[in-house]
Amino acid sequence: MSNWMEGLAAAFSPLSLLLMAVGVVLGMFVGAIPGFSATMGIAVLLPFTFALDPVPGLMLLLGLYGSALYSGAIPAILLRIPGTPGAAATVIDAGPMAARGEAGKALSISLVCSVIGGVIGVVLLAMLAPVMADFALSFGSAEYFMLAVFALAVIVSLSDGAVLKGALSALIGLSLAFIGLDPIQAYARYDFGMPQLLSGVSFIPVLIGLFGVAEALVQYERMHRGREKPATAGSFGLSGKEWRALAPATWWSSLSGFLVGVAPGAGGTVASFLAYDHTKRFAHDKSRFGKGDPRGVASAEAANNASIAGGIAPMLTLGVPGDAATALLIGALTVQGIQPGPRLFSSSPDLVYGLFVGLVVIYLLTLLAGLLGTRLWGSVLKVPPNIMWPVVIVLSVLGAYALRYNVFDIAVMVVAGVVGYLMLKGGIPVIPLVVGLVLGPIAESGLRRALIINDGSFSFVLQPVSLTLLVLTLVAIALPVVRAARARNAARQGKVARQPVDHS
Amino acid sequence: MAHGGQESLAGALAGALPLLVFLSTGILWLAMALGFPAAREPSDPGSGALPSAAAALVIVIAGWLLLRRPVGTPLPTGSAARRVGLIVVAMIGYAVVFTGLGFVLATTLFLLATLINGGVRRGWQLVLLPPLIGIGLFYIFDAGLQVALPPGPLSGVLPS
Repeated sequence: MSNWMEGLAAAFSPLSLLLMAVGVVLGMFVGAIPGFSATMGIAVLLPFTFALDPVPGLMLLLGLYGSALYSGAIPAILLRIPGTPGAAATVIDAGPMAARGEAGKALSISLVCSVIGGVIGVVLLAMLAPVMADFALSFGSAEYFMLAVFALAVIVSLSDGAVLKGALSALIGLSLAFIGLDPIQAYARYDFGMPQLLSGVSFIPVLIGLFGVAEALVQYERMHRGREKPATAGSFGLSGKEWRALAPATWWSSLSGFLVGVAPGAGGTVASFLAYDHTKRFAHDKSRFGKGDPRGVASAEAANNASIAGGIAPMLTLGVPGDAATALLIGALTVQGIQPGPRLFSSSPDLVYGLFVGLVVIYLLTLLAGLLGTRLWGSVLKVPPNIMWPVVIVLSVLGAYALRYNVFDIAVMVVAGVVGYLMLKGGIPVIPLVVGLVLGPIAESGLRRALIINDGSFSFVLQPVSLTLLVLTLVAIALPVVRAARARNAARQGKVARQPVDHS
Repeated sequence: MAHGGQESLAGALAGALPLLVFLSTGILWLAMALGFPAAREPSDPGSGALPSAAAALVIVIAGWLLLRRPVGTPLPTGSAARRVGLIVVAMIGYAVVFTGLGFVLATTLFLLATLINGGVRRGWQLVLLPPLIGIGLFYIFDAGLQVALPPGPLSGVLPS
C-alpha cells in the first residue's frame, strides 16, 4: 500500500502534473502530423528530461507517448493518412466514415476508445507487472541471454515480408553494441583510437538519428508535393445505442492490445491490426467492415492504446524494450542513473507506481484535451513542413549533444540518420537494429557469464526458464518460415488454377 | 521506356546501397574481430567470438540479399536529391561549427540554410525565424533546463 502512496505522491506533484499536461499537448501535435511518430517525438523531447527528476521527466515522455497514439487517428480520419503507424488500421473504417460525412463521429469514437483502451492497459499493467517482476528476480545470466535471443527472434520474425532484412538489421544493431570495452576482459573493441567510443556507442544519438533525422530527410525529399485537403468533421455526437454497440469490441480489443504489446517488437501497429481482424471475424455482420463500420475504428484505437501499457511491462520488469519507444524510455531512465528491471520495484517504487498512476492521469488529460480541441489539433495539419522540419533537426541535434556535451554524439546522430534513411529506402526495418543495440550487451554478458559459470557447457539452456524461452524462440523463427511456405503454396495453386485446362 | 529504366535503376541502387554499406561493415568488423585477444578463462569464448559470429552472419545475409538483386524505393533525383544532400551537408557543417560559433550563431546559420533549402522565400521568415528560434532554444535549455550550450563569440553579448 505504501508503494501506491509513494506513487500517488510522485504522480500528483505539481511538476509531474504540469509536465504530463505539457506532454499531452505536445503529443496531440506530434500524433496529428503525418510522418511525425510518437517515437520520434520522444526522441526529440528526450533532452528536456535530462535536467528533470526521473518521475517528472518520465511523465513528460509518457504524456507525449499516450496522447500521440490517440491523435495519430486525427489525420487517419481527416486525411486518410495515419499520423502514427499504430493508426494505420484505423484508416480502414475511419476513411469511409469520413467520406460519408461522419468524420466527427469517428473522431469521438477514436478518442473515447483510445482512452478506455489505455486505462484498461494500465490496470492490467499494474496487476501483472509486480508478479512479472517477482518472477524475473530469479533470472540469472543464462535466462537474460535466452530472453535477449527470444526478443530478437520475435522482432525479426515480425519484420513482415522481410525476415532476412530484419535479421540483418538486428545483427547490425548487435555489431554496434560490441563497440567499446568488452564486458568480461575490458578489451577495447572497434574504438578506432577514439576515446569517445571506449564506453560504447550511446544509443540515444543513434535512436534520434534513426527516427528523427532519417524521417526529416524523407520529408525534405517530399517537401514540394501538395498537401491534401482535410475532410469536414460533421457531427461529433453518438447515441447511447451506438456507444453500447461498440462496447464489446472495445473491451476485447483493449485486452488483446495489452497482451500483444507485451510481446517484444509487436507494438501498436500489430496490436491494432490483430484486434481489428478479431473484431471482424467474430462479428455477426461482417459486411460493413472496411466500408465505415464504427466497430473497426473502436477496436483499432482501443488496441493501439492498450499496447502502450503492454510494451511498458517488459521494460519495467525485465529491462527489455518491447519497441523503439520503450527503448527510448529505457534510455531516458539510464541517463538518470536508473536501470529498469525487476529490482526497480523495490529500489524506486515512487517511479514504478507513479508511472501506473501517471498513465491513468495522462489518459484523462488526453480525454479532456481531445474533447476541448479535436478541431484545433486537426489544424496542426496546416503547419508548413518547410519550417517545422528544420526545427525538428535542431531539436535532434540538441538531444544528441546534451547527453554528454559532446559534438561527437552529433556526428553519431548524423551518420545514424543517413544510415536510417538508406535503410528506409532499401526496405530494411530499423526497429530490429535498435533492439539489437539495446539487447547486445545483455546478450553478450549473459552468454559469456553463463558459459563461465557452467564450465563452458551449454547445459544452461536445459534449465526450465531458459528451455521455455528456447522453445518460444524456435517457434518465433519457425512461424515466418511456415507462413512463407504457405504463401508460396497458395501462389502456386493460384497459378495452376489460372492456367487453361488441356482437354485433349 | 527510358524513364522506366531509370526508375528501376534508381530502385535497384536504393535496394543495394544499404546492403553494400552493411556488407563492408561486416567485412571490416570480422577482420578486426579476428585480431581480438583470446579469453583468459578457458570456458569464456573471448572478446572476439560473438563479434566474429555476428559479422560473419552480416556478410552472409547481406551478400545473399545482394545476389537476389534487391529493389528499394527509388532514391531521389533532381531537386529532391539536392534538397536531401544539402540537408546532410548542412548538418555536418552544423556539427563542425557548433562549439566554435556557439549554439545561437550555429543554429541561426543552420536554420537559414535549411529554410532556404526547403523553399522558404518570405524575407521576414528568413530574417526573423532563425535567430528567434536559436535564441529561444538557447534560453530554454541553457537557462531553463541547465543544459550548458556553447555560447561562442556571443558569450558576453547574450544577457544571462
